Amino acid sequence: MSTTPTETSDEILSHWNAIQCLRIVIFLQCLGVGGRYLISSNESESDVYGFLFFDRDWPETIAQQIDDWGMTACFLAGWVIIAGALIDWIRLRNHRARKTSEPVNPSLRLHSPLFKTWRIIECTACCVVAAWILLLASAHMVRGDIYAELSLGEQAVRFISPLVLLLMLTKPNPRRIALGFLAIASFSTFAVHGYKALNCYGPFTDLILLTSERFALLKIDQSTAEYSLYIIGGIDIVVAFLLLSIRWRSVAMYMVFWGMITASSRMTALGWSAWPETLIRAANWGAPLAVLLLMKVQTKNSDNENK
Amino acid sequence: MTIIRLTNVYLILTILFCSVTAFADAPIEGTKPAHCRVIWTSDPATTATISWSTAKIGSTHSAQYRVKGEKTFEGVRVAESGRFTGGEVELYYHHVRLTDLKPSTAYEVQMQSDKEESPVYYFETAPITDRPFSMLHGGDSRSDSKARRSVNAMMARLVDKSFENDDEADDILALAHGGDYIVSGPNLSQWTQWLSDHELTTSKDGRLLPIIPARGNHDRGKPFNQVFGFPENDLNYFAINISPQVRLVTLNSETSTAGDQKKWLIKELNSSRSKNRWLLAQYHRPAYPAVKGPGSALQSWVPQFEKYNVDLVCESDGHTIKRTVPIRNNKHDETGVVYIGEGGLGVPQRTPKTDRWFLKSPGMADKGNHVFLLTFTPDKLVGKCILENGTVRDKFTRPVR
Repeated sequence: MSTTPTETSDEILSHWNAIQCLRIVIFLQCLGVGGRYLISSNESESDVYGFLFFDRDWPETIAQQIDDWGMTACFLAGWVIIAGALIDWIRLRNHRARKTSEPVNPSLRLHSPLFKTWRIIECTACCVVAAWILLLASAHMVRGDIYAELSLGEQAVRFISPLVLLLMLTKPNPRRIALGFLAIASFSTFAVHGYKALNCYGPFTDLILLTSERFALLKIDQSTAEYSLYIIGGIDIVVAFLLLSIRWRSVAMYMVFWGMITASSRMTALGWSAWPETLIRAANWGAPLAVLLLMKVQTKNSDNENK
Repeated sequence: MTIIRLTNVYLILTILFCSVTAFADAPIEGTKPAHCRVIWTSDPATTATISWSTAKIGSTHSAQYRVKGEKTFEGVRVAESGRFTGGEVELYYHHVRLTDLKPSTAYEVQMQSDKEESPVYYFETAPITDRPFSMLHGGDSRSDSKARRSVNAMMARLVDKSFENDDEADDILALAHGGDYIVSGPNLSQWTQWLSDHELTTSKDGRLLPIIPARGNHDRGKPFNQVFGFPENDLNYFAINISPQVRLVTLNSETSTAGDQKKWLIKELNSSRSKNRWLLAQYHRPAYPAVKGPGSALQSWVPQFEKYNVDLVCESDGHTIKRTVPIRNNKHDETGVVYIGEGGLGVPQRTPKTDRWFLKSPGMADKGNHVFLLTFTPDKLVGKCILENGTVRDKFTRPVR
């Protein structure tokens, strides 16, 4: 794989920045998956286990094993992906140390068989993460919980991000497609969260109330928290549509900021032990951040064309 | 003559058999009353909600009632009726709210829909004297109808047996259900099956077992309130005295736990603790779970349980058996609160995570379809975990605080 001759150095850099961003986000997400289902003191089984055991009457041990294998594979895949980030970062540093003027996206310049093999492993890891997260969302969707039918939309950023990373690692200039998929995923996640907020979803109300209690902030009562949710939900839906239609950078920046706040709110409300819940939601802010990084070049290109 | 005698015996046996099974999950057709049940959500000494279903809308629905043993019915109450929200399935609910009942009194009730009548059932109101008694707690009936029916029949046998002797302490007055009756809350077919299966808790002589319902995460949508006679959009948290010294607080873990519900809980515990020897809570999602992660009850409610020294907390959702050590400030403390659960009224059981600190000895965890039998006496609360086959898996005692 090599860069196309028409790519500018800005485009190459933004492509690489977006790749690194996605790698870090997916790694954090996989850490969260490992934490929730494998490592933490409150580790539990997933809806895949629940679907197989309760809904399909599979033996508990087999359902448990499948669940454990899936979680372990996802967790390890995260480490492979972050190793890819580290390797590429070292390669870029070495390239810069040689002080050549040639722009390069280290993710795409694979001269040695070793790097090519590693790339295949990393792409496989992306597929594993995407497939398992998609399976988790699908299993949750059929299990009867409140708003379960919206799971695929709600968790879109979690399984689309690794697929976009796969695309960016294997195609020389997939910016438009990558940007499109990430924007759709971010739209979907924000729109579903916005819908739940507009309906004053109980756990969202509790995140606000428990956070304010824990940090002795303004004393907020339930009606104030719910009123806030109406506003938050409305904004979520508006920014979701704006990102999809107009693609303003400020909208993506807001989504990054708000995604970080809401992911962190699990810990601010429930304590340090809720760290897996915060990390699992890394793509809530990570996907809009990757959008922002990719948009940066598009905006520059538009400005140049207008001159 | 021999043939005639045998035929008579056969007929008598058939009639007896039919009269016994007439109380058990009657088929639902036309306006024949079915799914007959009694629900306690307010003062059970003087009120009760009598509910039933019909397959057709009908025009007049009422329930007549009398003190057991009286010849004539003392009253007739017209039912509040409506169609269950559930798409394709046509099923109608009818609720009669009886008030001004006498405490500790057996009342016979008969439901009437158009010209169809149910068998005559009876139920007993709660006492206003400080007497020992028992109640059942369980949760998670969903998923496996066969197991659910078996557990329901087991509960009916327990209730029957409890009234066969003169010991008041083992008299089972009610079932507190911790939620998750079915898999998908809006699915009326599943509710219909649950309601039919629930009729198996009716004992051989027609005694209805009052149910004190909590909402579970699978009980989303409108049918839950319609099944249990709650007003539409009811918040589904309330507290009742089952006896003058025993108060059960039912909470709703499926809505905000940290807002108005928590404020209500604080007020409730503050006013109830000093007036009741035994103070219990039940809700669905556990704060100290045996298999899953903790719900927000851990932050919202547990500090209040500890502050007001709640005697026992009944949880569900985990599909396993557990009894924690007494807990205070997230540590084992003999003055703390014990949490039992976690749902075994029919759902397939999970293997608990026995390495969690709060489940280690003297706590316990296991798996198996079960119900908890709680017996309240002046000096202690005795809890037994009874498995589907009738064996006692666990027994514990809580002293008076």
